Amino acid sequence: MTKGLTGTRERFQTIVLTKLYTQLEPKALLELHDDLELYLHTKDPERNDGLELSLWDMMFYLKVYLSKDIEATVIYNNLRDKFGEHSPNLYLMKVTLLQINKNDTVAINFINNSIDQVLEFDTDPYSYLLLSKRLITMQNNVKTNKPDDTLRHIMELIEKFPIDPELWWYAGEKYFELGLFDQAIYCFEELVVLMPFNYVAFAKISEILYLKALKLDKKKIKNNKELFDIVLQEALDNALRSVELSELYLKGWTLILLITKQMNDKKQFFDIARENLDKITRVSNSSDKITAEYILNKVN
Amino acid sequence: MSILSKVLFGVGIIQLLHAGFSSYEFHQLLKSSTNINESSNEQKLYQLPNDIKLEVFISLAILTVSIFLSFNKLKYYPINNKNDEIITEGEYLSNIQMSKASNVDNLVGSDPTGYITYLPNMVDIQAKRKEVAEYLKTI
Amino acid sequence: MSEDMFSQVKSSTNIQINKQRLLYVQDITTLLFGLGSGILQLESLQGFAMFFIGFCFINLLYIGILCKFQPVKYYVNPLQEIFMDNFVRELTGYVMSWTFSYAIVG
Repeated sequence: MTKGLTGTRERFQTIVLTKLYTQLEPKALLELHDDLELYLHTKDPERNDGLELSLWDMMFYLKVYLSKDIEATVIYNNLRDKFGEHSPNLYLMKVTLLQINKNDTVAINFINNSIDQVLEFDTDPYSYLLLSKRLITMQNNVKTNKPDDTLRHIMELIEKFPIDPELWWYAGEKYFELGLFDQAIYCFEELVVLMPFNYVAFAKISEILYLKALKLDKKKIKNNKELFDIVLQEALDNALRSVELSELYLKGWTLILLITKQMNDKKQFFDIARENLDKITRVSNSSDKITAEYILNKVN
Repeated sequence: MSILSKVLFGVGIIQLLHAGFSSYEFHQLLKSSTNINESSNEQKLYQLPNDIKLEVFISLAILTVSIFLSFNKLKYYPINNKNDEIITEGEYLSNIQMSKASNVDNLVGSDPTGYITYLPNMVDIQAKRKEVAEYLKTI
Repeated sequence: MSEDMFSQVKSSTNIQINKQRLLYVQDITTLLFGLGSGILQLESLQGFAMFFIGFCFINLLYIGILCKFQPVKYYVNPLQEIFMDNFVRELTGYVMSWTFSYAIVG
């Protein structure tokens, strides 16, 4: 089962492209850090420069998460000597180092100064966007902050960068946390307009609609049954679109299974969803297999 | 498989070169012999010997086999659990239908839109560091 | 109409990858076949016949072995893409190596 250098490289390539490392748990982060350290010090002729730089960028953040501050600073200094300070990723690294070595307030001031003096007039808007996002994240932790403030800042940033999908996803998540389902769905639909084949976004819309329908059921209003059916149908449509774009998408089929269980006349879809979840238990990777089995057992 | 393909390619190239050299020798001989005779009425058309022809065809066959052998079934490496088996769909080429093409990401366990879904630019670094520090205390 | 389009969406990166693989196979085999026909000192129609037969044979092998007799899964227009798209390119490559080896051996 030795996957060799190719397997390791492909694994790291996927992780760095999808930024999975930002969501890992501490144990997995430690493992990833050790593996990456070993890999970066091995010679791999098929590792091109682009991949190498992305991996060093990932390594910086791994070291920051693991509190290895000095090693992180070394990486930053190496990259800064190569590329100079005025690069979007290097700005972010500098802000990160300010956050960890001093405190958030110093970092917030630095970003505000950069924006006012340099980035407002710069030709490349990418640095502005990245630093503004980091600013919003830091402002969330300031004590005087309210949820409305975060939403206001995000909406201001969206006005300036209307085609950035991450901002719309963040806004959608924030509205969802506040329980404002319709606004959340609007944000994710804007995202789908930007990326029409983003099956993850379709599944997210379906999830929110499903939860909206379930919440409706608990309130006892007279014409609720019709609204319940309409919302569930819409949820089903979005979930079906997500599996139309990706055949073995676990979340999509799970949603179809759950939604059709609540509906009366969709036995065919229920059966198809069960078949596909069964296929996932046979064909997919180990964590998906376990999840699919659990879901099948729970629903039956 | 790729080692076998490289070896076969080497053998094929050597055989082709050998056939080429033999053919060259033959044609040199043919030129010199017709020069000596110099009778334009007799046009003895000597054909290239059968074994050289056969050698060329066999070398081309070996080279074709080596090129087709250099294709391996596409393999996908799951990213979450290092002890997972390598997943393969048993195909040499990538499916172009979007619903099947995106299966690669599903089998591997990755979210291809992770750079949006995981909100990497909105990560709270201080909170993450605290979480890891607390975990490190427990081990 | 637009509802149906979603079920026929193709992945453009994979289309490119498959085209590259086909081009790789066709390029190398036609160059080698050109060398062979020069070594055999084939002339005019015989040489071109070797190209056509070789090209078709390689394409059929490709469809059989690598596409597993289902080229529709991998190419948008299999007949056109496999047999016709690279035809002129491969013909010129074949003629180039044919004349090269013919001149050297002859």
